[in-house]
Amino acid sequence: MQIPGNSFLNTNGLTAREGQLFDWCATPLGDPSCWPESLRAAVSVQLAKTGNSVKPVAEGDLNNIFQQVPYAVCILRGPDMRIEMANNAILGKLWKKKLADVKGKKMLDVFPELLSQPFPALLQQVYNTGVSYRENEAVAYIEHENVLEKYFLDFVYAPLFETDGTVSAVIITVIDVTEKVDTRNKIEEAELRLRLATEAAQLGTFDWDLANEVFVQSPRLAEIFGFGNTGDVSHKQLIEAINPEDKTIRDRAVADSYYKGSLQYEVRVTWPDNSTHWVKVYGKVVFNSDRVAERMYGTVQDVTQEKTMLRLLEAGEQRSRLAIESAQLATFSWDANLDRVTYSPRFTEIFGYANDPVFTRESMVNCIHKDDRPVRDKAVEDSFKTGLLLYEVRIVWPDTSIHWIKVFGNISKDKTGKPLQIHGIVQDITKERGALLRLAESEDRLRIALDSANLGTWDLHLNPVSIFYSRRVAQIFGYDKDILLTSDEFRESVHPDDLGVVVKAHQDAISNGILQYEARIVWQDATIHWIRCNGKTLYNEKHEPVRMIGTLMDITEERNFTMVLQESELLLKTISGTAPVGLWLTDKQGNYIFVNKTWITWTGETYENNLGTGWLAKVMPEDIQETQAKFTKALGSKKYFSTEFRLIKNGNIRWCLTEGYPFYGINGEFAGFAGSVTDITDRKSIESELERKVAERTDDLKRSEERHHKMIDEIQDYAILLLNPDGYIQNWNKGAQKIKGYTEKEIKGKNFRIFYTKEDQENKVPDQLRALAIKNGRAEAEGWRVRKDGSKFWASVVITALHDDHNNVIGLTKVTRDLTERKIVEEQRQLQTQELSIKNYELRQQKEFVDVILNSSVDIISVFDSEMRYISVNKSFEDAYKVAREDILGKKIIEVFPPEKTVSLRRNVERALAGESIYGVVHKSAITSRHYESFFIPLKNNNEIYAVLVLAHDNTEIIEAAQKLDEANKVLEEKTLDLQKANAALEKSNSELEQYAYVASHDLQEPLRKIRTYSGMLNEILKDKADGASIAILGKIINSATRMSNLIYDLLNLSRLLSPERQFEPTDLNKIFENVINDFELVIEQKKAVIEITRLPVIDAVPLQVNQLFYNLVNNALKFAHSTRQPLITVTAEKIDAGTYPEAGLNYAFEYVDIAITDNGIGFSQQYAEQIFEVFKRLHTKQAYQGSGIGLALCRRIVLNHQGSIFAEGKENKGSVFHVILPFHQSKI
Amino acid sequence: MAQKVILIDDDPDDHEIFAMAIDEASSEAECVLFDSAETALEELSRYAGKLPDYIFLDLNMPRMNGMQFLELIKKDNVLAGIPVIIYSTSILPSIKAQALHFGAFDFLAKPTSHLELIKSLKKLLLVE
Repeated sequence: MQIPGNSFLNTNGLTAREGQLFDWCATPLGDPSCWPESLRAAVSVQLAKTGNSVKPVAEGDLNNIFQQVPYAVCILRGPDMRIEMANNAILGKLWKKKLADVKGKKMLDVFPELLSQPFPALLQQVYNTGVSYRENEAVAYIEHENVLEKYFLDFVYAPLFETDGTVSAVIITVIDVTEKVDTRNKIEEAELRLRLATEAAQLGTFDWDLANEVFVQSPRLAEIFGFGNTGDVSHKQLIEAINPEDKTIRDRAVADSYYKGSLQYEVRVTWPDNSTHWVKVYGKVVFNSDRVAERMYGTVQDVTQEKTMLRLLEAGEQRSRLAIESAQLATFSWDANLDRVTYSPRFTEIFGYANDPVFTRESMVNCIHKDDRPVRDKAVEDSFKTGLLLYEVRIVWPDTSIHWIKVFGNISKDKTGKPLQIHGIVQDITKERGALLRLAESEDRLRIALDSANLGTWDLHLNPVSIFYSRRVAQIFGYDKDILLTSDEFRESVHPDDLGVVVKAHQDAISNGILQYEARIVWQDATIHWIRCNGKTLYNEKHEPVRMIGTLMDITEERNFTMVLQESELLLKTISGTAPVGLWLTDKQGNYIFVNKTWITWTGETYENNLGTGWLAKVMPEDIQETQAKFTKALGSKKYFSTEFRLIKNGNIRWCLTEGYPFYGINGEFAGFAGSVTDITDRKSIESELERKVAERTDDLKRSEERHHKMIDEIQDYAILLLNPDGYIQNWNKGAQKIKGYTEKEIKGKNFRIFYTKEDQENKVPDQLRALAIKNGRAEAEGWRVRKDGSKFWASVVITALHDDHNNVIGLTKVTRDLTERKIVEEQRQLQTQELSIKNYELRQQKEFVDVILNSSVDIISVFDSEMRYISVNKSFEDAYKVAREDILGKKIIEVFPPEKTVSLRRNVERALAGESIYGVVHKSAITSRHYESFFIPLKNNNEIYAVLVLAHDNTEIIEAAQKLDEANKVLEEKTLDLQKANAALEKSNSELEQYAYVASHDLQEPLRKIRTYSGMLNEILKDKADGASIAILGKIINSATRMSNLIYDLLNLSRLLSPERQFEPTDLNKIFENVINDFELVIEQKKAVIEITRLPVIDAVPLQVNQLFYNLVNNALKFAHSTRQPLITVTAEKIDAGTYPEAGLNYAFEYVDIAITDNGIGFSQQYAEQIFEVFKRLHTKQAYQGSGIGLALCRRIVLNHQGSIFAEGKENKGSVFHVILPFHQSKI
Repeated sequence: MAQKVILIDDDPDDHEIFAMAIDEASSEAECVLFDSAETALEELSRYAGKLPDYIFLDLNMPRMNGMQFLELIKKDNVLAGIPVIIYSTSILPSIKAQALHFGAFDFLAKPTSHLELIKSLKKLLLVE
């Protein structure tokens, strides 16, 4: 017979066969298929060992097997559970008994402590029902040497059947898992402490001694509750700070914590300034062995900010977002029995059938994209096995658009595994699916956000065509911002002439991804506006264009302005470029900042070379000084000037006349000179020629007037006339006739006044000129003169006096030249100069404006040209890099800074030059060793990048502060952790002691109480009947019990003092003594005691403890008073140092007060001076002096807690002195 | 009218002391003793006979302790109205707070003197 699953029995040999055939079920081991692995191994080894035996396994062998099983095993026989067999494992480790002592005995007799535990009932149950029972990590208490020990056990109770099927015994298998459970608990606790420790930095902490109602908190806790860090806040005050509405939350949480072992709640607290703060309390409860809560400790955290954030989130705009999000939850529930689906409204929306009342399961399946249906079918099929439904498919909306959904569901089944219901949610994940699209979109969003609010934004879906746009778009198209427009309507607005541009741009955009155009649109009021449209095409995974997004800008003004500007600039350029005069412009220092094309041609130098003082280069060296002097003078006086100089023009020397006019800015400030240069070589040469000729011919004239007249007459370009000294015309040449229109006949004998305008005549201009000529021999003038036909011409006039040999003026010659043409040009030139100066002023204003902005920026700004040369830097740049602008402009980065320190800068500038805008590069400069957040922005002109603007924002302070904070936090964390570890160790030893004290107080009080009650009752019954001796004995019993009760109470007090966690505070010892004396008022009166106390200091102490200390000492002094002397107790205080009492082991770093309490009582022999401080040491009989023998031990403990010392000096029958040495200040170490 | 007082305590000595004290405090009062919270709860839940005027409740009992009993009885609409007096050896402040939270009426520390107990009970039952 082969027993399936029992192959381990199939070893070789006869016994093996026997083993297989052996009816194991009838043995205490039961069915082999139920054996634990170790038992199987033991049996197979045993079978192999006894390989030659033909006998069935004897009981002795079985016993052997039992003993070798590493599990604790025992067998309990019969209904009264007698121990039949127990192996070493159970005997040694768990029971700690010998087999001989337990064998055959009733389980409950051996382990009476089990009576109050569930195990006997369970055993009985297994015995009665024949059904095995198993439990893991069950708590069991087993008594060893009168102490209950706690175990965690995994155990199995299995029935052993007789052949008739009745149960005859129960076999117990036990594994002791106490260590495992304890370790796990410890780990849990350690983790908890770790978490508390790491949070401790910002946390307030508290420790609530429930037994004694002492609540201790950290200063931070008081702060969190709004009490500043005064530290002097009671528990009651803290509780009162809690918002009345939240008080029940706290009360409930505290009550619950007694069961759960942990405390957790959040409440609002009201600060003294009436502000409300959120506080989160987290704590742990420490129980004693009876599960009575003893202590609560934990942390308090200010969570106002988190809470406020949350509230803002709920309150503000985010609320609507949350509402939308939550509304997007589409839920469904499918009932298998009814085959019916119920769903939330959002569910149908996701499928594109908003509010469709007849949306069935079939409708839903039909919506799923054909290609994805197998995905869904597979998922549904799988879900019946796994219980989870999860799939993502595409669905097709009624408008044929495609969306992605994610379905997530849970399946509940009945016992047979048949599905009952599916609950789930459906999410629209179309957006998530297009991760790439989303990324591109977010980048663009960022860019758009950076642009001004004047931009309209739009989002055009291509398939099907639908457009979404910001309100600004509608405004740009001349509509009300709230109106809804279709893409067709937008298209119809485009100016017919520009429609081609727009269509082309869109076609291009589909192929190359970028949309960009400027076009005119026609508003409904027929006005024409310019728009600039920038956009980007988004593609799906198959690179099919699906959307275009972009911005729209109204550029009408810009466009108009540009056109006007372009026109006027062109005009100016044309005029100044083609004028036959040189034009120039200086700044207020006199540096040339502009020259025109004509001047450039004349000098043959470049534009740049002419600027500053470069124009002087081609001036004849002899003339430079004078020219410069005149200009400098004019510059100083800010007045018109003119000067003539010679210019070397193409190798020839030309005479030039330059004239300059000061010009002023809008605010009236002198801005520079604007002027012109005229080539006057021709005039110059004619003039000098004329003079020469006139002089030459004067003699001839005298000799041959005819010839002279003739010659004059022939000159046609000049009007040359001869006047008598009074100004009457004597002679007239052909030139005069040509210029002035009069014939000689008409004009001869008339005064030359006739050529002047009426105004000039009235102002006697001609007479003055004539007088000047007579006086000086020569007079020159320019001005408007009148022709015969009344028309005016610009005349240049030279009048020369003619003298006889006696130097008498015999006449005047007047030479007039028509300079009208020149004058017109000159006037034009002046006009242009003015325009130029205005233009220049505007430019300068703009430049200044930009300069001011750049230089006032704290951010470092630099601009590079396309060759990566610095073309502009601001003041912050100069300051940060300690360079001067002049030294670096025009230089390349690598020429200015060490190349290895500018690698990333150059890379980023290169990227920007390639067209990429780089935002927010965070880096540390190798040059300045500071941290910056930098922006690299390409500057474009007509789509061509001509420069890169680099803006660096110095955020060193923030980064360094963050780093320092990090470091500080780390140190703090470590320190807190160390502290917590030390605390944990301390707490452990304290709690053990406290537990002992509690057991002492509670468990010892209990029987004592009864002794006292019963003896009291006995006393009542006997007091009238019994003899005096019995009553006396009874009295002694009562007294002893009472004393023991006090003893226990004092012990408890002592043990509490072992915990050093009490708070030290400045304590006025005078007040302490006041309290103590009050307590003894009655005794002092009875004994007529005198107590003298000198002035005592204020020291760092735990008030309750020092109160107890001096209470005990005064109590002793009164108690041990001499029977015949009036008690006198004196208390003195003296400041001492550690050296005063070398044997007291005082700390040399402290200052101490020595408080001496001297009495005149019975005293003691000095040999007992040390003994009296030991627990239960008494020098006197109880009859003589009452007391527990703990009082002075308590005193010593208190003094040690204060890092002090106590000792006594005594003389029998004279009195005693107790020295209490306490430090003034408590060290924190 | 005769008052009915029940004591729930697993200590037979305390049963004896308490019963004697009740006898002496009031000749009219009826005293019923339970040695476990379960049996007391079972009995009370039958609502048979007169409901007690006071329940004296020990805290430290096996299986179901006094606090559990208190919590359960306060959930019963009928029984919740009976004043429950915690009757225990030592009453820690924390235990006191907890008991009050669950609706305890008063506290009586198990006395060390028989006469003291009689005095307390007389006060409670308004015998004097």
